[in-house]
Amino acid sequence: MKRTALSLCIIVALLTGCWDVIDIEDRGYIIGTAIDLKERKGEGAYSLALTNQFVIPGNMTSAPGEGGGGSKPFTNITVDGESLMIINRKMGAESSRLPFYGHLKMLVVSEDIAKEKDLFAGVLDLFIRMQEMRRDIKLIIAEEEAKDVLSVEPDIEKIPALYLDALSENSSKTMSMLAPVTVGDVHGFLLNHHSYALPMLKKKVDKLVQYEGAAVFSGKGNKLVGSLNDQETKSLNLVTKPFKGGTIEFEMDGHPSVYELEFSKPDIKVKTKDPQSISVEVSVTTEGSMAEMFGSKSLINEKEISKIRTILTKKLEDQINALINKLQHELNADLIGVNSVLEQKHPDIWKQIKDDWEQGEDLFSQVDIKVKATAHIQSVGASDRASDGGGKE
Amino acid sequence: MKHFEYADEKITDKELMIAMPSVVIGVGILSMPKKIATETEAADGWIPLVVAGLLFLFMSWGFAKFVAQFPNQSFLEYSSRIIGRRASILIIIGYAILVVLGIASQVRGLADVAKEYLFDQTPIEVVGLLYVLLVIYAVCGSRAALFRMSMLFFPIVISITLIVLAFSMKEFELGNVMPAFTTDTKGYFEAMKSSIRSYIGFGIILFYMVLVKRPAKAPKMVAIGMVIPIVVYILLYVVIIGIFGNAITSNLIYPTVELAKNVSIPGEFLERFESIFFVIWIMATFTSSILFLDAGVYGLTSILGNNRKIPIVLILSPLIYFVSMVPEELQYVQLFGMVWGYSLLIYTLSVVSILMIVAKIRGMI
Repeated sequence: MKRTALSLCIIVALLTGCWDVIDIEDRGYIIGTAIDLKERKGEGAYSLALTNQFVIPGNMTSAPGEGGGGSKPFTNITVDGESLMIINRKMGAESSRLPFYGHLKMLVVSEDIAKEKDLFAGVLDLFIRMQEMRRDIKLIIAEEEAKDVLSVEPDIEKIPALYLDALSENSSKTMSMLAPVTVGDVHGFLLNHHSYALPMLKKKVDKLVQYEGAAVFSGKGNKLVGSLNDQETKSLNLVTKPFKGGTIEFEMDGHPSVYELEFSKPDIKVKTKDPQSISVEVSVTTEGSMAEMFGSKSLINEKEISKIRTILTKKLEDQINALINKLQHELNADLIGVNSVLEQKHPDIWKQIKDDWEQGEDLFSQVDIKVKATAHIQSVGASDRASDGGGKE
Repeated sequence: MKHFEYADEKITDKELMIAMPSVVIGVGILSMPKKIATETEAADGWIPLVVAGLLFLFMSWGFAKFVAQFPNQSFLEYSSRIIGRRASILIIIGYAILVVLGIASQVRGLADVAKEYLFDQTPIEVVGLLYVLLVIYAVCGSRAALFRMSMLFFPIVISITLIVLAFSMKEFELGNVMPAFTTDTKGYFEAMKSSIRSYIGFGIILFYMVLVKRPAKAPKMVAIGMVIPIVVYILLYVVIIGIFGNAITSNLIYPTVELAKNVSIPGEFLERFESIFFVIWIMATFTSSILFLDAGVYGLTSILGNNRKIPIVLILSPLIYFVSMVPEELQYVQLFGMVWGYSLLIYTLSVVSILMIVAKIRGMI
């Protein structure tokens, strides 16, 4: 009897209560975060504004557009401060619920922050370090105020952050959109001193945003050094990863035509014997079909097809060359991944030149890069000719 | 209160086989990839892992072979016959001290990780205390039951680990694994040191061989048992490097946890897979701790008599708890773990070689 009583006492003392108990109702689930630069306070000191998008689960159930007394399923709270950690503490005081980042999906950083040397890496540090963060948070750069992006109210999605998330998933279909880059990816770029590109967002109207081009970060200073437009992003996608879907517009005999990509496959070959002579060959093979022809040419004709092929190949090569030219001479950022190929295939040479690739001697900008495109045209659509050239008159 | 007693306190050779990976895979698996990636290039770290693994495989096979020549004798009995009772008692006490330090380092490692990822507000002292209490509870009971429990836990641990690996594969990038064989000799040597520490713990066979029903089969089973951690470590290491790349892996404190956090089960109905991973990791650490502590206790009871088992456990465990809370910062915890690892390895190796040499000279084997 005494023993039972004693053990009960011990059990009560040890097994009750929990230091870490936070009721699910008290947690503030953050689904999107935006970081803006408020002002510069001299060398290395800044004032930042952090906007967190909290989900309000109670308002999630009604379908979007349905009244519900104007209660949104999310709320944005913005807090200013000098460091994100300080802001985070303040955030707890302002929102009745404890901020919880475990379900964070989107991190939007304004272009102003990205342009400041080291500030961007400093901002990311918290998101890499905090253990409740996940490494697959998607990172985007906002062209203007980042917090505006989180306050768009699209009709089709309930929560702006989820809308951005869904949009970024479309990148596998839209060639001018960069594939989502996660905080974990950037952590790797920073550690390897690689240059990288992040998707750029622009608020179009009140209800919509648009992914537009890419923000280019140099591995050297880890700050934003420039941007790529839609066309350049498209070329970047073509040379960096296999792609399914997408279109290439070109002009044939003065008529706009569209080539629809079935898939494309890039290949980067690097030939080198010593650091002084590195030659790179970038080749892209595409397979696809003619989707749109504003002309009245027959496409079954082999001569026509080879003509299209020549024009298409030239177009592709020109576009990629323009991109590479910009990367080499304007941005000095090796986004196409020559450095990775060198590191993986020619580790000995890479060891000698890795400090002179994008910095020091700037070897990347001096490397000779040849571009070769091969376009296959599989089919011409269901019909040979949509019109027979005006018919008989 | 009445205990259910098993009819015999014997274990099968299969149970001994499972005990090997159970005692070897413990706290260290979380940080092992970081330590090895820091010293090697790309995915070259698998080489020291294989080399160290094979080394330990042969050593444990040799140990088992040696001990199997004294069937149905406890460590004290056979080593007394070889080098005398007094020296044997000294050996056992030395081992018990290393066991106390070893469990202390495990308790601390577990409490640190739990604090980092699971309980933000709970002091590590409390997590550590509860874990020690649980270990005491397990060790006070039947010895054979510990082996049966490891056998029960083992398939769960392995299958969850394999699920983590399988569902991570879609993010595997071959480029991260390349180029192969670019590490210099010094790098391999340094990585070897970390690899070796991932395999220690096999010394328990010195004490447990007496329990095995058919000792003649034991060496083979011990060797098979040692293959399991080798395979698990290599798969884990290569997958982690393939997903994160060398640079990130060497900068994450616990790469294995990050891998589990990265897992997304298709269909998104299970978003936070790491919680399951933590459960099985604690199970693995727990089997490691109980088998290890029990081996030390077994040694001591052979000196002091079997009825002293519970007092021995109750004297050792406060010591374990105390030692585990001594280091203050992460670097000291790691230093402590490192010093302990090497001491245990050197100790086990020298004890066994002395025993072997003396036995040989006296013509006993």
